[in-house]
Amino acid sequence: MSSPASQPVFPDEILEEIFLLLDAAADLARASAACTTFHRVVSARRFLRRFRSLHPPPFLGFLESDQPGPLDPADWPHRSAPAAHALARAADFSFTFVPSPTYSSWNVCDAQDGRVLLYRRSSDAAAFPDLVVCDPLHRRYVQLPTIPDDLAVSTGARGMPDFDPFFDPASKEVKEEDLSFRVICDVQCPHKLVTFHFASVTGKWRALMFSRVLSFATGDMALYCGMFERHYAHGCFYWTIYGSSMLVQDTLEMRLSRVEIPTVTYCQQKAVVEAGEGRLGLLALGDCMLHLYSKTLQNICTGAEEWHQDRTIPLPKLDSDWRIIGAAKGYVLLEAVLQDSSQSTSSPQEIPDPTQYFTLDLKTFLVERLSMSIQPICRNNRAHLYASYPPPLSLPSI
Amino acid sequence: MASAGSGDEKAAAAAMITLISSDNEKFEVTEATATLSQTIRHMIEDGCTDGGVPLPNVTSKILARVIEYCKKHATAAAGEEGSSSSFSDAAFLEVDRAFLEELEEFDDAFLEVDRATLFDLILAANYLDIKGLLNLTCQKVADSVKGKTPEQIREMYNIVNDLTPEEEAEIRRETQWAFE
Repeated sequence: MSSPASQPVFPDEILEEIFLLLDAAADLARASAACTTFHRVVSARRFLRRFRSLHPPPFLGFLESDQPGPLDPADWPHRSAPAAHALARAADFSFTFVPSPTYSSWNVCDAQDGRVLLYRRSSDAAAFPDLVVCDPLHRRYVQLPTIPDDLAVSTGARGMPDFDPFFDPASKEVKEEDLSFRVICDVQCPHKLVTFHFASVTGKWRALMFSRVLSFATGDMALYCGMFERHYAHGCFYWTIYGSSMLVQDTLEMRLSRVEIPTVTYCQQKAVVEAGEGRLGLLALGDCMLHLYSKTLQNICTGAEEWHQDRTIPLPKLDSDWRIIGAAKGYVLLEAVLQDSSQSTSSPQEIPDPTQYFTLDLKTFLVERLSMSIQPICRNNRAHLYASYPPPLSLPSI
Repeated sequence: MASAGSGDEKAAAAAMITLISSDNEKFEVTEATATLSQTIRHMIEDGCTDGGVPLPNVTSKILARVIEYCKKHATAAAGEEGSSSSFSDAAFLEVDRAFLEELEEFDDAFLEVDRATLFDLILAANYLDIKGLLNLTCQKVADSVKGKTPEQIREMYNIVNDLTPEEEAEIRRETQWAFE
C-alpha cells in the first residue's frame, strides 16, 4: 500500500490476496477507487477472473422466456438493486446489437453465466430456429450454425414445430479462462426424446436419441411441448409431466426412465432440485406454501424408498396466486400475482397492483423479494435468472 | 507449548531445523513446524538446510510470531492425524470441535497486533509461503475495508490519493452503484 516509511508497501500479489477475500462486489468497487495501484490491481482481467471463480456473481434480475427482453432487474430494498440497475443501464437487454434482417425479432430462451441464448424463426418453412448466444453487457454475439438437415432426418426429429433450446447446465463449472459454452436443443417425439448438442469448441451439432418407456401415441405433436417441463439436478435432466409421473434422462445408459412421484403432487406445480449430497428434491407448490420431498438419488427409479417429506416452506401471505417460473443454481424463482377478488374494487384509473417476484434460496430456504412489476410476465411463460457483476467488474462471457 | 505432552516427545525425535532471522537470531524448530512454510519445505527437499536457513526478509520479532503460529498449527495437523484411532467417532468429533475452537481462539488472539506488525506478518507469510497465515492476516485487512468509502480506506491505511480528478470522477461514475 502506498504509505509512509513506517509501513511496508505491498506488492500487487498481496493486494490481490486481500481483495479476493472481500465477499461483496461493492466493497471491491469502492476499494478500487482509493488509488491508482488499487484500481490497477482490481481492473486486471486475471484478477477479475479469479474473483469471479471464488465469488459467483449474484442474481441481478431475470429475463422472460419467449420475449425480446428487457431484463427485470432486482428492485429496492433488495441488496442487489443498485448493481442490477447499473447493469440494466449499461447493457443492451433489447439485443439490438444482434443483427436481425428478417421480420421476426430475437426472443430469449435461456440465460447462464452472463450469456443469453436467443432464438428466431427465420422463415415459416425452417424446421429449426436460428440460435444466437450473446453477451448483452459487452454487446457480443455468436450465431450458432443451424442443425444440419441430414442429422435431423437421421433422428426422425425433422419438421418438429416445437423445440426447447437451452444452455447445458453441466457446463457451469467454467474454468477461469474458459469462454466456451454448450447448447442443447431437445425435441420430444411420440416414442422417444431427441437431443441435439452444440459445443462452441467444436462448432458442431451432434444428436442423441432416447427411447421412452412411456409413449404418447397421439398425433398432436404440439401437445408435448406444453406437457413436459424440463428440470436439471445432479447432472441429470428430469421431465415432469402434468398430472402424472416424471421422466429421468440417464445420459450414461442412454435411457429415459420413469420416476414415481407422490400422488398429492400430480396436479401441483413442481421443480426438481438438488436436496443435498446424493439426494434428489421435488419441490411442489401447495396453497401458499412449498413442500420439499426428497429421495436418495440411486433409489429414484425403484420403489424401494418412499419420498420423504423434508420440510414445508411457507410463502409470504399476499393474497396472491403463486407460480414457480424458474430454477437455477440453487435458487427457485417464484411469481406472486394478486388474486382477482381484491382487484375488483379498484377503479380503472388506478395503477394495477404489481406482480411480485421472489427467490427461494435452497440452502437457507429463505424467500426473498427480488422485484415487482406492473407488467407481469405472460401467464404460461417461464423466466431465467440472470447472474452477473455490474460494470466495471464484469468480463466478456463469449 | 513446545516443551510438554506426548506430541512433543515425538517431535523431539524428529529432525530440527535452524531458522536465521535478518538480524541474525537463530530459532530451532521441528521439521513439522518449519514445513508449514512451503518455501522452507522446498529447501528441505532440496537438502539446503544444513547450517541453518537464512531468512533475510524476516526480522527476529516477526519470525518469533510466525514460529508461534506454525507451532500451534503444526500441532493441530498432527493431532488430526494421530488421535482418530484412540476415540470413538462421537468422542473424536467432540475433541475435534474443542480443538478447532481452541485454534480459532488462538488465531483471534494472534491477530491482536498493531497495523505495522500485521503488515510485516503478511509480508513474511507471503515470502515463506504459509497459506493459512497469509489467509488469516489478509482476511483481517479485507474485513477492515468492508463497508468503507475510498476516503475512509485512504485514511485508515495512509494511502495517498494519486488519481487525477478526471480519473477519480470516471471511476466514481462507473462504480456509482457501489455507493448507493
